[in-house]
Amino acid sequence: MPDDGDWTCADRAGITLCVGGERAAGVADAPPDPRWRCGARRGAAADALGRRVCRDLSPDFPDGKMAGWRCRTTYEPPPVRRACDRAPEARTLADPCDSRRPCIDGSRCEAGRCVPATGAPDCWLDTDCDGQDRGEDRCRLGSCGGGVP
Amino acid sequence: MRRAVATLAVGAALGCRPPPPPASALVFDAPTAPVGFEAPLTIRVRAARADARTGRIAWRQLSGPLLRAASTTDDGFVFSARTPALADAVPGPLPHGVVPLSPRTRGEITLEAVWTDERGRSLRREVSFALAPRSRGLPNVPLATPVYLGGEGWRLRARPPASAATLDARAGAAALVPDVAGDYQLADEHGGALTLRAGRYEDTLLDCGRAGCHPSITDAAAASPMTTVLARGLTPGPGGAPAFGPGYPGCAISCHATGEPGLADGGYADVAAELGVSIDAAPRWAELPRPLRRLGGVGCLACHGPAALPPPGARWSVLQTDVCAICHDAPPRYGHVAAWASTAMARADRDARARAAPACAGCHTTWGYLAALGAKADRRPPDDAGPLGIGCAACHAVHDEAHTGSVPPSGPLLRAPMPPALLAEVAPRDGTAACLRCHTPDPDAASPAASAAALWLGRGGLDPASGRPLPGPAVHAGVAGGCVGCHRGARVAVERGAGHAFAAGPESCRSCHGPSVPPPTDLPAEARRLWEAWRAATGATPAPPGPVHAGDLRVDRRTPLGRAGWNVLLVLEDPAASAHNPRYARALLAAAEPLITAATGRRGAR
Repeated sequence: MPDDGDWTCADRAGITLCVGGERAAGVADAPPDPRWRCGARRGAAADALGRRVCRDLSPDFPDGKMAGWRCRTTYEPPPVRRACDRAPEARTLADPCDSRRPCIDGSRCEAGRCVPATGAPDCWLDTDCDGQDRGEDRCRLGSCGGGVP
Repeated sequence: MRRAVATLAVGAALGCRPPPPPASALVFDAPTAPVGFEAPLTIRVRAARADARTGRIAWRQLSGPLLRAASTTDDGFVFSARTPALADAVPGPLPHGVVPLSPRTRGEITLEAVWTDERGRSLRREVSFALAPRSRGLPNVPLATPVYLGGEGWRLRARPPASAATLDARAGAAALVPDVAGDYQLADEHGGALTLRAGRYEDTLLDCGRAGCHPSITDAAAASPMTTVLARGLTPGPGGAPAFGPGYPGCAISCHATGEPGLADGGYADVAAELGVSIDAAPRWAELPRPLRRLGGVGCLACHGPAALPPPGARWSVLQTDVCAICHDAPPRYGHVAAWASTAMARADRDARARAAPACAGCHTTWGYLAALGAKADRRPPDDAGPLGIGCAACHAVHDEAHTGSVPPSGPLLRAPMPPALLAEVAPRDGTAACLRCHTPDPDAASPAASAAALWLGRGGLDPASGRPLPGPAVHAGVAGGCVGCHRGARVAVERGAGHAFAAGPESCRSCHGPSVPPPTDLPAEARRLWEAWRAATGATPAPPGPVHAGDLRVDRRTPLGRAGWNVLLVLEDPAASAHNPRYARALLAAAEPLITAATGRRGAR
């Protein structure tokens, strides 16, 4: 989790995205986890999911490698845990790419590797990107348009 | 039950005898989790060295409710006993419903074990354990933790689908150990319903600050010294050791974090064990795993309990002193609750009328006081809850809400409401503020009540002739700390919190007056004489037993004689008028006396 607050998280293409950021009540301050990049969520006022979105581009995997795993955050039964299953077929950002093997939506191919947006994330749902220019009106990997030109 | 290894401390070496075996030679298999009431207890000692096995161990109980049928076998290397009943640990009748248990009442027992051998060598060790986990008395409870129920005829009507929990009456009271998160529906012999909500601390959301819930409380709690106690304690001090000393948090974790050590309740100690984090050598706060930070410090769940909010009808229970008692009732070290229990405040609502009448509840109950301040929604307990006293939450605002009109709480988290209008210009702005409202008469009341603060500050009197305010000197207004500058004396011998007895005796005066403390005055007698004369002169009906303000007397302040009676009552309503402000008290009586004397004479002449 990005910090001690309450978050809703999901894994996608080998990275972890979280939305929420409600401060944990009655918990003393601690510095946020530096692995996470966080940003204000567009459209946060539209629902109760939370105002912030965070992205961890290098979450933990059982063997330390992104490829071959499909991970998720489980909420029931509590406590909140991250669980990973072997999934050789799962596509991740670690997959090699070229003209015949396109990157997963929301990333672009650079030097044979899929590279996601690296700035602060700004969306959780496609609707967060409403009003953006065509091409940027969908939320991909935490960024409207995927942050990919 | 989890058990930990305890080792012997080395006793004093005597003379030229050979040294005793090292402390590690004897390993005590002592309980680290509560052992239960009316339960068998066995403590085994293992010799880790051959020469340690040659000795004998003698056992003695040093403190706590007496164990029954204590015996030893195997040269004292096995100690057996039966633990006492709940009634032996908890003084007085059990309250109906969830029985609150503090360190003082949960049956904390210390045994002494002395190992000796034929060569005169000895080792001594103390073994401490508790019979029950602490309980706030709230209906939302942690999993895997026994809940004891006061009252008769309890039966379990419903439990979560996967639960196998049953009621056990062997402890002298019904006990339930919730084993699955969810609601447990119980009923007593009269059909009274009780719902226990059980859950693990770790699994309980900390989203109290969501918009529409308690954002201001969450903001206030963030900076509370209770919230941050573990974080501050783990901050490295000089030399790199934790700021609160080497070995911190150690046993302090039971009160500096959430949960009961030794139980699988999802509390700090339980989760730390699961994660392999040592409590005795905890890392810095920022380096603790996130789940432990969420359980560290005295956060929401430490007082409000785990699982979920209690049903609306049970939310009054968080105002009980028992909630604070799980840490602050541990004499002889922490004696706040024991000291408070010796006060009149602890008995302020023993008269059912004081709990029932709205005019009384505002100063005779915690819920009434907070409601009058606007600090809490109606938290009136049911009638069968009985007297609860004016508890901690009346004076201490652990998460003061901005909308109470209060100024920010001071260091000890004292509530600081606005002073009564009568004292607005003279009231000191310190910890005294919480006292003033209920020790200052309402100028619009039928008769003056509880006038100590008004007399102390020289306010409240009326000029009998004109009806204008009759202010006076306030020689003690400058006492540092206000009320508690003098009312800090002890009635119980405890290391911390003794001042919660709020006693003020001659010793309180000596810091300023020296050994020549002013002698007692005749003020109380003089006030009573004038009061009887006033009553005779006005034909007032005989007063019922108790303070005048508890009756239905109405003093007519529109007349000089009525105002004279008001002044006399002001003095009578302050049992310590002679100490608080004798000059002002005399001035009030002096102003009243001529009118009362004259009225008495006229009535006698008729």
